[in-house]
Amino acid sequence: MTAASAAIAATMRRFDPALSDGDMQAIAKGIDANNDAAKALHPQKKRLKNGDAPVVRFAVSGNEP
Amino acid sequence: MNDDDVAFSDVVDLQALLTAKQLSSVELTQLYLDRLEKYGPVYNAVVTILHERALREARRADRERARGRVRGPLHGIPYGVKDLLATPDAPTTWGAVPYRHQRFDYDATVVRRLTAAGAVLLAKLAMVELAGGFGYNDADASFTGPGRTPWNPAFWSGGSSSGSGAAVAAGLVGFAIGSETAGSIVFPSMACGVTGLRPTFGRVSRHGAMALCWTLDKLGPLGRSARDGEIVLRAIAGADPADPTAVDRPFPAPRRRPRIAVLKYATKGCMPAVARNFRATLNELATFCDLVPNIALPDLPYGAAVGTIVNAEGAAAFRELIESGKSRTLRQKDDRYGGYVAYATPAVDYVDAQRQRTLMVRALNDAFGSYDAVAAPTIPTVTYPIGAPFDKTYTEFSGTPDLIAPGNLAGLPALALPNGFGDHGLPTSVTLQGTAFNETRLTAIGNRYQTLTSFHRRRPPLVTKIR
Repeated sequence: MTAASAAIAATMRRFDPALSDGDMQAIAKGIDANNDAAKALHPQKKRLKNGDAPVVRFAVSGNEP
Repeated sequence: MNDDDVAFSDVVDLQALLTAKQLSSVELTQLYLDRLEKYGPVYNAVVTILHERALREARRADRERARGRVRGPLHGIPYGVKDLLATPDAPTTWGAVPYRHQRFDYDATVVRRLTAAGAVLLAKLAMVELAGGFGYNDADASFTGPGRTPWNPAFWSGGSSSGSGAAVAAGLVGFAIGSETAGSIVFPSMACGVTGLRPTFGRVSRHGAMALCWTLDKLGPLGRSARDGEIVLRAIAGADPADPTAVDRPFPAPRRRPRIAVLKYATKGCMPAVARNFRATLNELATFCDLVPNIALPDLPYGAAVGTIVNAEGAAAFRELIESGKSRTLRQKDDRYGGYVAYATPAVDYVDAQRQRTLMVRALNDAFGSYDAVAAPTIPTVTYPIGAPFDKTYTEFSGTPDLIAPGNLAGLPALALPNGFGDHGLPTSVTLQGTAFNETRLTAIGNRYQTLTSFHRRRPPLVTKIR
């Protein structure tokens, strides 16, 4: 468990003050695990170029005024 | 033909019985309602049975048929929906305690289209809470209890469309609608030995469906044959002003001799029975398809991408629940804090996951785009035992290349077909993943395969009590 993930986990008590210390540890560990997994997505790791755009889908509905 | 023979018939055969006036839609509906009452609770497959609506729709179907009006192949056919589709007749619970009494005053587009096709809605079927969006780690993750596969009720019916899979397998409905964000149609299809069709992203409107992940969610059928999958898909597909991602696209004609890529290392790390059944499936497919072996899955971080996207979009979809602190009322212990973990997903990770996704779509199209399908075992094992954490089960079977994450990230269709049995008498399954909007090429292959095999017609030994 890193200090950063523990600090982020602590902020979740604002949503549920009843979160136990065990819950906080589980949240922090989950955050660390996700951060580790996301390293595989880092631009340097997989050589994303500046122009590699994300998947986005947006359409103007074209409603009449 | 006895009641069991009727209950386990596929849609095509049920329609033939209705056409021949061997039974009415009301009789068929009553048969399924009785079975839902008798077996639904045993397998934790049902949330709400819609007696009144079902009989009303069945009477209408019979009246129309008597007047010579038959709307199509689903006319008078009873079905169930995963309880994440809105209907006004009952709560739409999303499988989760905080939404147990949630009500909508309209039918989801999929339900509306099935009604227009003459089908009869029987029940809202059980599901993993919030479709698994908060990272559950065992089968007991719904307020209806752990979904049990009719093949061996000590084992999970899969998730998150647990009730859809079990209800089809136990002959409680003619077919069912499920949803998939990252495996929730194909996994329960495998676990329950039924045929599941995950449509292309955008083929089917999600209006009225619970959103977990706007860029990944899809709705599709689970049924007793590939031909049923195609019939249901044709009825529910198409553009919808209420869902801008839904589009009208044609259904391509099947090829005379399809080309199928066989995924390289497809059986590496699989249970022996899964590997054996997959090889036998390839032998059957080779009688009418050209198989091209050893086609590699591009080496890209699919798992990390799909996990990050589901976390970020899921946290936004359920932001109100997370910020209310009420996720503590969820059933599965990891779900009670999983929302907070998802809530902490960095925005840059989400955007980079979506950027990687662009490259993945391109790479997958380069690898598989010239084939009608790519074939692999649906998962490397049979389904999981109830009561054991997923991450501590079957740890010796790993490292298998997996089509679920890549196929969902690219929005590609997939057909899961039962292809035999393995440990504990549990079904195994093969997945055929296609190219975008080519579902009917998959169902044509699946239909041909099912004329050569009988796994899809096997019936589980049903029980009325769990020991």
